[in-house]
Amino acid sequence: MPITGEDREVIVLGKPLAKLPFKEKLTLSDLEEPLLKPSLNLQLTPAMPLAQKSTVKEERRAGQLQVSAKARQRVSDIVSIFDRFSGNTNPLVQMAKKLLELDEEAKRLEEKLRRIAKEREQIVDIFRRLGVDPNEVLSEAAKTKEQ
Amino acid sequence: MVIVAFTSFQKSWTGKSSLAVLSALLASERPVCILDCEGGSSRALQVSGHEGITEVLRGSVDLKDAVLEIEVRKGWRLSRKFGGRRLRAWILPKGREEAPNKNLAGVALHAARVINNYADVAIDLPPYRDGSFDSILSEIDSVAVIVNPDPLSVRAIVQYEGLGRILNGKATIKPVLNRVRDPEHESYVEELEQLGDPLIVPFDPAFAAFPRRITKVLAGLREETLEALRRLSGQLFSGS
Repeated sequence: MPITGEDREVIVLGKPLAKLPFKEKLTLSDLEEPLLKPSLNLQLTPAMPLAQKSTVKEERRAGQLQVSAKARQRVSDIVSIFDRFSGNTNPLVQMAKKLLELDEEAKRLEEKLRRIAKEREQIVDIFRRLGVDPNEVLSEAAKTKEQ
Repeated sequence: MVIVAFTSFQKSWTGKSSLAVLSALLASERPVCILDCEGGSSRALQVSGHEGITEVLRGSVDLKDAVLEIEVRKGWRLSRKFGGRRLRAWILPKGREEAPNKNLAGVALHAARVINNYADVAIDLPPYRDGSFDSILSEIDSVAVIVNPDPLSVRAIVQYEGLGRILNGKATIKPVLNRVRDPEHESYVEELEQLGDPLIVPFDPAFAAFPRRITKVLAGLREETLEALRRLSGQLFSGS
């Protein structure tokens, strides 16, 4: 006898992967190269041995630490999945949220640093044009105050 | 996030599907996606009529459209037993078509890896005699080997010819002695210890309603069985 809506013990809530950013139609041929392999997962990437770390150039290391737009989107997807599933109690969800917060904070600090550097550059430029050393100005001012 | 397979190799009727479904439902902190290669999980969760892994294999449906999120409806008995906890899981159903085990094995591993980016995965394997799923078992994180406490069942597992390859792979083996009612099961435990630390799931008459009435199974589970299932879920899935 077919199960009617009233008899159903299990309800289908939806298709949780349907709204995620899979590139196109994901069929068997696509599965040969899954869009997001476990090896690309930031959390699953094995830590580099210390000895090897020291040989990595600073710029390259900085590049690795930057969270790509794709990875950021993925964190956001996972947060929303876990949030919906667990009612916001999963520690990993909290970590994922924290990661996003830190990301935002880093962006704000980078912006502030850029602003400070720009302001400094303007002041240095004024002193350069006047041909005056700012340290001399400060010591002269101190002497005047003493007198 | 982890990929776990539930298997008894060539043995059937050991309780693989029931343990896969119940341990997935009891994982509360993150979704577990049951990847049903056998059909029992789809029947229990009433999604047998949906497109699934066999349609993905033939290319007639996208994987992302075949994975379903389900919830077991809780009447007053289940609400009293599980409180506010939602009994949810994801499932990639078996599908409406038939496919050879060898082809299923290939697509199951790929599908598991894709889904594993977003959820833990429990692969519910059918009994197989041709070694067709052995390649999967050496590639994933854990293998829950479901064994019943009788000499034939235990021998079929510990003497399985593909076991060496699996033990040499990266997977952790979790032997599960299911339907234990005999207090003298120690000898089976000792035999299974050569595979890993065995977990005991007691015999429970509530399982008789599986796969037809999942709510009846859940409502009828004894406290000690529920505790064993929670332990199983906690040991297999990362967020439980």
